[in-house]
Amino acid sequence: MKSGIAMVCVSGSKVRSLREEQQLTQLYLATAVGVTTETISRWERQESPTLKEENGLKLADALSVSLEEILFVSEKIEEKEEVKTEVESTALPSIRQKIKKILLFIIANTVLLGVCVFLIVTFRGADVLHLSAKRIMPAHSVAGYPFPVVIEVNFESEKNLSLLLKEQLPESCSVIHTVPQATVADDGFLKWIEKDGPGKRNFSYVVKCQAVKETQKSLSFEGTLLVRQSSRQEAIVDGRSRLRLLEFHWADSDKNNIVDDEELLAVYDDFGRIEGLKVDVEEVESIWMGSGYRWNQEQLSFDIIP
Amino acid sequence: MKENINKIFGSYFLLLLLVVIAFPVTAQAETIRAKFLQNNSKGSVLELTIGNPAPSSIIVKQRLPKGTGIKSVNPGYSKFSKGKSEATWLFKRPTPGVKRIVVNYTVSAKGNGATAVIRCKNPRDGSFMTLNVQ
Repeated sequence: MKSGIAMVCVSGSKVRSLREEQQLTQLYLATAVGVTTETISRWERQESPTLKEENGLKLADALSVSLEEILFVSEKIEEKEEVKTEVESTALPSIRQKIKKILLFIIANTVLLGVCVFLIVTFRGADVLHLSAKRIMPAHSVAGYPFPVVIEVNFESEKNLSLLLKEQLPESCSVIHTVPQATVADDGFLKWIEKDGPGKRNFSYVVKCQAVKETQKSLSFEGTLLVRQSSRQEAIVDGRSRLRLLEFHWADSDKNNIVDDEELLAVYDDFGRIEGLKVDVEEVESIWMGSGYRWNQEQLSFDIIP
Repeated sequence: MKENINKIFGSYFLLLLLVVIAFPVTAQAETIRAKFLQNNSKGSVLELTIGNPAPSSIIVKQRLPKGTGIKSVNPGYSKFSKGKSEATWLFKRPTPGVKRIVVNYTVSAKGNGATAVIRCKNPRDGSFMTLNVQ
């Protein structure tokens, strides 16, 4: 291991010529510098011209010249530089290798982190496997006459997440009752919070709507389904969203003043299966049994034609 | 040799098990089937076999032979059209299984027997189904 001592390289011929000019002996110089005569001899023979700067200064002093005058090379050779150069030349490949290793380490970690993030995102995305909601409601109803609405929710998840269903009704509509009981039912706004986890379920209500203006014939319903998790999952309630105010029974989908077999079956299929939903299916059945019906504006009810 | 055979059978069993797990097959019964057990001049017995899941409701229409009327019927019909000589039953929320509609005529029928039409919505896809029975 080399120290940080400054070294100089002296010109042996210069030292010899100066010593001889001044008729100095090698012993004198050796004594002055503090080295052996042999060392002085080697310096002069240029066998070992590199010496400590301190010794170089003592030698120059003994020869009554400045150090620069006896230097073999004009600039000083700093051992530090030598060491540095040596270190640079010998240690460069190992440093490069270390840098390479560090870079590889960083790249490997970045890739690993990326994979982890991907897996986490994918896994989290799989929290909610399926989320959809479909509104089933008549295409029309008589103004002020109650009709049913069912929102079928299909929620598949591996986690026991809560559901939030929001339904915004037209301002002229008023809710008669909801199944299950809505958490919030206020001014044409319904909200259910379902904590039973994934599965298929129905949210239903019976509503009656009025026309705000004489000319208003169509009403719009909007719903949103939400699942609370790390990333909020949302679905728009699709299916039928518009209802027209016409003087036909809501079950009479083809508006021919008759409730036929298909219409009756559709009523039972869509609304009859929901426990507790107060839909007047009996009335629909009575119309089906008869040969037709008429809307009685005075009595605000349907006259069944036998 | 015996070990190899055992290994092969073991592999096949494992493969079969995987296939069974991966592709579960559920027995899908027919939604509804119908046939006349009896259809003569005195009356008719119509048998309905309702699958699982059952439709939410079933409409059965039975047209009687000409010149006859209903003497007795079980279960009672929902409506009767004299003009068409047609009785209609509405079964609400039927349970899977077998149902029979027994009709006895007032007078012996001549010619062809009764015909029936069964209508319901398929509980699997919501499509309308119509079965004609003669």
